[in-house]
Amino acid sequence: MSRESAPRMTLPTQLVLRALLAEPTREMYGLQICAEASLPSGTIHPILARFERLGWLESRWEDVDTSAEGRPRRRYYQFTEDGAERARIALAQATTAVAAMKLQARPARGTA
Amino acid sequence: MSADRYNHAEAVRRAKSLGARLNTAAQMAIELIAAADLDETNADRVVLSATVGNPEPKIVPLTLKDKVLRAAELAYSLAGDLHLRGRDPGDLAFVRGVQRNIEFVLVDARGLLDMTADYRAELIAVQLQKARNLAAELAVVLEASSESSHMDERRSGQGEQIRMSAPALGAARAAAWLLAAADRDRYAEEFKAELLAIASAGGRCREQLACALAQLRRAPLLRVELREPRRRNAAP
Repeated sequence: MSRESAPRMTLPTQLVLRALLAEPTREMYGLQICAEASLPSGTIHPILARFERLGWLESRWEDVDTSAEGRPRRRYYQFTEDGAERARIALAQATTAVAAMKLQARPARGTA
Repeated sequence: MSADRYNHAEAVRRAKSLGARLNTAAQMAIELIAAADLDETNADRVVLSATVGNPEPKIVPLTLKDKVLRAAELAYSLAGDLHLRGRDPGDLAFVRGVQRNIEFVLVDARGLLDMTADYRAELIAVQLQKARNLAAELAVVLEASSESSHMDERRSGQGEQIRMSAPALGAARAAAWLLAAADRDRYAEEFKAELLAIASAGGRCREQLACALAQLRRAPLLRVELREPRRRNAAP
């Protein structure tokens, strides 16, 4: 079975993309993205991994002295150079597909 | 002290037994798939979860084969973890975190396995139900023991106290363990950083645990995503 070039645009996937696209150049860590996307914490790592695999996102470790800060490093995610554009296109296509499905599913009115 | 020790040993014994049963259940799931009696097309189900007050039914496509595979993979990994922990019974909180997740997984698996008429699926369901019952017993033993080990207090760099939930840390560690060896360190650190961020923001034990269990439940999917080859790297 061949895989499509864009990921399956589930609702959480779309929410994550929208959160990231709100400020495409901003770096965010997982918990921040969850909050922005209104998703429960701890739920988005598979989605982020998928976007990284597709080359839409890149990630890096926070540059801090962990012993001085007293906490582990955060992993920051950011769109790649063309990632934001590809994400916007995929999101637009997904939105269009959902709208078309809703139109098809809506029963005709005024007929017996 | 002696009661704690008894509970501890009992919990470990039950955890090991649970691991063995999950192994059996997982093996049967693998056999079921290998037998290829499941017609993948027929196994694709669409669940309509329309509820009163929700005029638009939610459509959730499910592929039974994928779900059984996922349950089996998770059961194997959990069984392995429990076996490892049995050798070093020093972390009740870890076992408790894993046990709670087993409950969630098995409830899901039971629901999915009910969807096929194959008699082997029924056997799997029975095995999983036994494992679930055992997990419930394990929960009782674990809840009764070592309440004091529930919270782990840490100090941040700023001097304020941050209360980390030991069960949450255990579950996050288990989530990282479910990943391939190459990815474990990265995600162990990332998961822990998230829990600490929640704790730093005043998140209570329950919130930390919810986050960690979400990490744990999605670990098999994350593992699959990380296994896929990177498309970008494939290009020159």
